[in-house]
Amino acid sequence: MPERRCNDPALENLWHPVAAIPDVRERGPITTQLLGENLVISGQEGEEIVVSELPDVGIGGPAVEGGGAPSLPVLESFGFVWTSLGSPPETLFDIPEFHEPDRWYENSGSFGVHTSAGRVVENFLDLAHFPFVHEGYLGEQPYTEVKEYSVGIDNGEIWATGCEFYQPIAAVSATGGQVTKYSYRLAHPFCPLLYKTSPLDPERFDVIGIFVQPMTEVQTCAHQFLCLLDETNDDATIKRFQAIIFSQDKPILENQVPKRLPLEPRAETPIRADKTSIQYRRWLTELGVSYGVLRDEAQQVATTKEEVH
Amino acid sequence: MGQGSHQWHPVAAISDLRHRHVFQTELFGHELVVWRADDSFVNVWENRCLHRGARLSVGINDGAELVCAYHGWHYANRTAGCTYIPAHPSDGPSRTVCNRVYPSFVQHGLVWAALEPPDDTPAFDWLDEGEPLVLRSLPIDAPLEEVQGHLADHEFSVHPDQNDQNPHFRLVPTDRNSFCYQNSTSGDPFAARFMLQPFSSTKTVIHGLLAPAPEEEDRLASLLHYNAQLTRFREKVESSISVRADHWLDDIDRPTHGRRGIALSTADEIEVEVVKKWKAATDIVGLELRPTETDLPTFQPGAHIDLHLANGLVRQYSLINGPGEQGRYQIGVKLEPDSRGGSRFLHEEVQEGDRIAISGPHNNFGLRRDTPRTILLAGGIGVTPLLAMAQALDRTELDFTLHYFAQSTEHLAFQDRLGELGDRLQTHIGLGPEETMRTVGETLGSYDHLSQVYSCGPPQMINAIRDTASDLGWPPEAIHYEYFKNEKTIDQLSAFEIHLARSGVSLAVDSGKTILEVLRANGVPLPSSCEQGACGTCEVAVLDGVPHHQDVYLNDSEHEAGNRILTCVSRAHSKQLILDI
Repeated sequence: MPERRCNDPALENLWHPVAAIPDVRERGPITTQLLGENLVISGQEGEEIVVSELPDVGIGGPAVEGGGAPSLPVLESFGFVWTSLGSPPETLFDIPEFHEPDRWYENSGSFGVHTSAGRVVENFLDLAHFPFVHEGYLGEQPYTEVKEYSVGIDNGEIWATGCEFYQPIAAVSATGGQVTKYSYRLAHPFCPLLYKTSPLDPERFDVIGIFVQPMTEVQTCAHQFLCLLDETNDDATIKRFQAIIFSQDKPILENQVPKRLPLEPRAETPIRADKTSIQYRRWLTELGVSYGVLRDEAQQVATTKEEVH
Repeated sequence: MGQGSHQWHPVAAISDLRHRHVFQTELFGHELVVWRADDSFVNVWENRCLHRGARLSVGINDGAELVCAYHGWHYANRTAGCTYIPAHPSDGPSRTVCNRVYPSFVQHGLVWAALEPPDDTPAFDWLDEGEPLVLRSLPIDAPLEEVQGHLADHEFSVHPDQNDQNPHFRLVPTDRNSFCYQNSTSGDPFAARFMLQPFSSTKTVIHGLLAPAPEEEDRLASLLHYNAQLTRFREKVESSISVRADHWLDDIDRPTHGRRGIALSTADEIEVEVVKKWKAATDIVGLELRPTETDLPTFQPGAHIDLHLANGLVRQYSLINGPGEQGRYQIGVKLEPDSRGGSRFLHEEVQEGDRIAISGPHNNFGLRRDTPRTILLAGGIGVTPLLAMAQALDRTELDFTLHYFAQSTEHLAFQDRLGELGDRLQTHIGLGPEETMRTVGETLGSYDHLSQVYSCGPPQMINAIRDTASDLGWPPEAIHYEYFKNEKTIDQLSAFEIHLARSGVSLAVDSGKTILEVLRANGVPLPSSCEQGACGTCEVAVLDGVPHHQDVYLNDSEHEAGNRILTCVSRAHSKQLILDI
């Protein structure tokens, strides 16, 4: 096996999203990065999708199809091309709701962020920032309290359940706003999902998530998807809404220092509301993840040129 | 790095710190956030929220506190202590949640800072010619050593109108580290001084001063002249650099230590000096306390301190300070006619210049800021914690009114602070108990799910307010109150056992002893303050048993739940209480 820049078997052996399938079909071949390696993804309509490593020409260099380099494993799932730099498991985690015929599934955009994948995931799992970062959308001041919720590990996945938050968007028809109930699921270190009670059927959930592609330690691409029961929303409205939400998160995410996620519990100051992220950091520690994170205090005080500039 | 980290460097010009602006800079690659509060104090902190590392320079300067843009954590002017965490509106942040404050001071129109406490106190006696003119600071894309090297042999020219005998000058270092330079030519009417800010390993900022400042009409010409001179110098330095040095980036000691700050437990005593004593109203004196040695810990609105008086008494007084008004404590003391020595001592004996011991602030009367409307109901001296709350709310968008019930206008204390509240203050003068309660009822109205009430005053008044609010449908969680004292007669006759669940120890509480006393005698340290069941400091959780509460701190539903007690007064109806300690 060729030597990898990331030197992190835990991440090398995982499946990672690298492109939306329609993008490859319509605009391929596409160059991108995964864990510091340059990749090319090709496969026009009717062809098989192939992911290959590019020789070191750098991103933006000439895209060579295949180029003779060994091709990497490929999986097509949830509208994305997934690949791996190592020996991935046979299958990817499942989202059972994705297979339900009455649902509406959509890739609602891919967004680049100059920070680590861990920071992006934690932000997705965080309720407390809604009234500050997404005021008027996902939260509203002064309704800032994060009520107690439960976090546990179930079948190798992190689940946060019983989360509640006051949301003004739900208040369009109602007076005085509405408390929305959430559950969060982490089935993969970089793929957080959110389950939200459907307005159409209180017994079922809308599923929203991001598949985060770690391009380098501190450069990521967040691929968003929605899996909703709602068929009335038009594509452009939903995409615009998701883009607004992400454009509010991006400047905050890019102003977090250090960019790599500190795993040492005392490196930052968690509060009760951060139970999910406490569990997430412990999970990354136990998985042995070392790329895009700071594992101990010694690493904490050192930093790289990449981080500063 | 080493060299220079214990040295003062300019990090900003005062003119960079505009009203409510937040300025960002670096020193030796450490990111600093520099902001000026409305009281003109300039704060130089690590540019990073302790919670999740967000840069505080993208936050909001509200004039008294710096608010993080990510989760709204509030950091107080002067101390950098966190005063409010919106995700948990009823929890006061721990005192250890305090950002890193760098040593700094303001002089000659510049903000000076150091990474580590400098060996020397600043001595800029070379600037005793009056306020200088601050030149435009200029960043140079070059490492410190390169800039120092070029400064040593660069020839600057003097403004032609200022000196035609000596049209050129060179700079010589005035300190051993070559961070400060001055004009080597004597006899110039204007001495130019340049100071270096080692920004990062690839960037240096030159700050300049002209002392004494030129006459008003010559200032623009001088500024333009030196700006042109420095720009030429910058071009020369930058064009000479072929390879950018980046040696600091490998070993940079980037300060991302989590917790730091003032290591004071609530039990610690702090010596303060009474720097001001004044008549605040009829029978009320104001006292201003400043520390003699250490800094004072950060307080939150609603907090009180314990005064340890020379006559052996300990008394609690609420702080009346507004937000960000750290560095000193102000309290109000009412002369109680039946004083056992506390208020009488403070009124009659204590003088300006006296030293007394205090505890750090406790806050068991925290102000929630997650409710659109807050009604503050103050009776007499009970105004003190509510005044602190009113000033904090006045910095927010939230709706509030302070209702102040007093015997006469002469009894209204702290008129200056009250005046700042404008129409947020409503005074109610000389009302009898019935009229007072009618007014309270009209003010509260029926519960609307968007309001909360905080009350403090004589016990009879708080009791009546609680009853009135309850009758109007207000739930216990929307009614907040603080009794200054517990007027109930405390029964100490019962004898029972306490079992400590975490350590597995059982202890007997005999008649005449309190749980708090028994715990302390057995080496279980528990913070306490009033020790009469009013302040809530010594609260513990109860896992089993039937408590006999006797306190005035917990509300009725909390008493009924029976899962918390105040160890200074509460006892047991059952034979045993199992405590979560």
